[in-house]
Amino acid sequence: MELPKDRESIRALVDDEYFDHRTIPALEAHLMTQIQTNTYDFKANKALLKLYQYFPEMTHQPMVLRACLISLMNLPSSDYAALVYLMPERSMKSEPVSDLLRAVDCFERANFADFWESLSQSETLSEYLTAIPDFKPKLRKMVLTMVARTFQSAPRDELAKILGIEDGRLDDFAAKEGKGVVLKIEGDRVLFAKNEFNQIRTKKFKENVDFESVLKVLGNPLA
Amino acid sequence: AHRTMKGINRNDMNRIGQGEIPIDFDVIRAVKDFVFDLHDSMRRSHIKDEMEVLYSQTFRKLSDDYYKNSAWPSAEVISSQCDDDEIFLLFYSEMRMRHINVSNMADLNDRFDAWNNYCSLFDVILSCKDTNFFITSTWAFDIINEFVYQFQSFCQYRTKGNLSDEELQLLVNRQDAWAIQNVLGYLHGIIKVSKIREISEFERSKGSAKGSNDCPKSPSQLHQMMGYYAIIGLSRLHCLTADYYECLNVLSPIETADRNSEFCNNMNAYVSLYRHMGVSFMMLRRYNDAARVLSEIVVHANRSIKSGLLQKPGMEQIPRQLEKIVSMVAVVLILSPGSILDDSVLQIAVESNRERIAMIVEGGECFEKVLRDLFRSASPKFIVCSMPTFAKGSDSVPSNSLYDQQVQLFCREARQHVCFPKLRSYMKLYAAISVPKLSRFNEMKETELLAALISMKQKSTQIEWGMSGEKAPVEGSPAFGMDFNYFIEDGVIVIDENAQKKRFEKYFINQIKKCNDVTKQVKGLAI
Repeated sequence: MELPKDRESIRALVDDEYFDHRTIPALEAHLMTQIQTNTYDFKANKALLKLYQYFPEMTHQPMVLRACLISLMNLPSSDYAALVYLMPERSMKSEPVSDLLRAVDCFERANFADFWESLSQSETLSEYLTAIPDFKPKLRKMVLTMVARTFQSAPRDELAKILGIEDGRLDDFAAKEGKGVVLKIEGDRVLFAKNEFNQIRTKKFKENVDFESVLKVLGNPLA
Repeated sequence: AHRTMKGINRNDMNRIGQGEIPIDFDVIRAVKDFVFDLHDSMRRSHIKDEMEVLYSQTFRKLSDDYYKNSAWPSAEVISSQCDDDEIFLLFYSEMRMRHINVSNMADLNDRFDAWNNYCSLFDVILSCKDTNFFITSTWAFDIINEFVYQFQSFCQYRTKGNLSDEELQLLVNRQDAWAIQNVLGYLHGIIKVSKIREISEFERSKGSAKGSNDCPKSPSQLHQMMGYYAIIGLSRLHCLTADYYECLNVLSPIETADRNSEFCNNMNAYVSLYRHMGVSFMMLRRYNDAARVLSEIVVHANRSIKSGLLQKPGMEQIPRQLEKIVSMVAVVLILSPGSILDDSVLQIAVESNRERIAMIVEGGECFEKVLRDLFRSASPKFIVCSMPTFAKGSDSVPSNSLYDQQVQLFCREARQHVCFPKLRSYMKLYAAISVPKLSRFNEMKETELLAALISMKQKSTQIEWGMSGEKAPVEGSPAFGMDFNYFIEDGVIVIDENAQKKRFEKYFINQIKKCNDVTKQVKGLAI
């Protein structure tokens, strides 16, 4: 994802003043900008969570949640994991962050149907997600990629369930967001494009011995 | 003031006050000479080996001989030995306080005194007014390392929750002392003033033009050393406050993969640096990098044990740290067996944790418990660095909370791996196996198995730095942690094992060459 336009002005704060509590308002505003403009600045968001760690009385739960939500959109990077370690323990234990943690646990175990269910079950989460319209599509694409790395094909109805969409929408999804990952849909099976992980890799035999060493071994008088 | 004059009776104090006897009348000659020599090497002669002997050996010996259970003389007592050099006395005071700390004599006032001394010392360094300094690598690292350690210790102390009213009052009055923003402020300040980042960037971009006039320069050798080790100290501090990304990120100016780097000559710095890098990689699930970095320490430390390096003074902490590192290797081994490349390290990790690893195979609850125990024994002591709320009865963040959180999050991750070892061992036995069959072997439903297979693959996907000199540790390229690939086609799991890339050619060529050399030697011997 792109970096937000005001990143340069924030940069100095993030690099040099991330331990000054007066930076908090600027970083919070920066996070809201990211959500509004569909951009992403991991370091700035991490700096914000660090400041909450240093000055717990200044923690804003909604900001914590937002930072985590948009970091999920950058999977499979470890951004989300990195943020959760920094999160105040209190946030972890209270809704809606605890709901999110539970949902992500399902996601990481590849229990995708449960993942979508958990998201929709939490009202607060759903509210926040309406402000981040790109969240679900992005995660859907991720699920599709993960599945395509392990399977060569999958039954339509199963795939639709895993993607959290209705069967009817599947063709549309495969054509647009699934482009490059889905090869085609044949009857009731969805075939995935061949990638590095869902087929036998051709074995490359590399001979890495250089001629000089072989010469020496053979006791060649020229060597 | 009362502590500095400890042991001197009132009569003598009066005589000192009246100028009858000098203030340092009861200081041993050898100690006076030591102070004089150390001052000389720091300010005038700048000879590395001399200072190394004084700092590492002489100080230790004198401490053992004369100050086993007491403090070294305070700065004012020995100041005549060093021309009343205020700045040198700040360094001396730091050494003195470190010695007090080691002998476990520190109370709250001592901690405040130490903080005040660090402030004075660092303020002087930051002001750059005086640049006629020399310091050894060992000394510079020790100062920063102790600074971070004392901060760690103070955080644990002030969040303990069982402080007396008097202590609480003192803490409330001195909220600036050991406050996280001030600690970070100093470390950042030292790094900035040393210009180490600019120097590193310049050297990387210009390569050979190192000594040129365009190259940014540090105010003094001491500033450069302090800046260098401040980076390592900062990295450690970030790891202790659970910011694993930043722990790796701040290391960019240092050549962490280069065996000729400054820190490689300093065993304590080397172990500390790589250990915290290893922990950070592991927590960020970059198991390949974690395995590599931690293995480096194990191999290097074992070599040092054989060469007797670890018997020298100053290496006392290393064996214990090594134990923790081996436990961490075991953790990585369990979570990502494909990541450990070095056979000798593999052997050591398995040997030291034989029983635990045997239990893992059972799966289930044992799995999580073993990993949790290993993690607890291996991890650093994470700290809560925020200021506690001093009002009684209020809910401050408790002292162990960050540590517990890291353990909890680690266990969460471990739980997701529970069925993987068994799955992996079955899959290694087959080139292809049907989904129903594998589910039966693992006592799982087919849907559960399929989810586990997707999850296992996803968890092996990571970015890998690979100890490359080209990239910073925090960056890397996509990599896979498993040593085999698998996918599902028509209800059958196809397993594709990596061809064993054993480099037989190189080994044989080396041995043939050696044999030829020996033969030549023998032929050359006149009989």
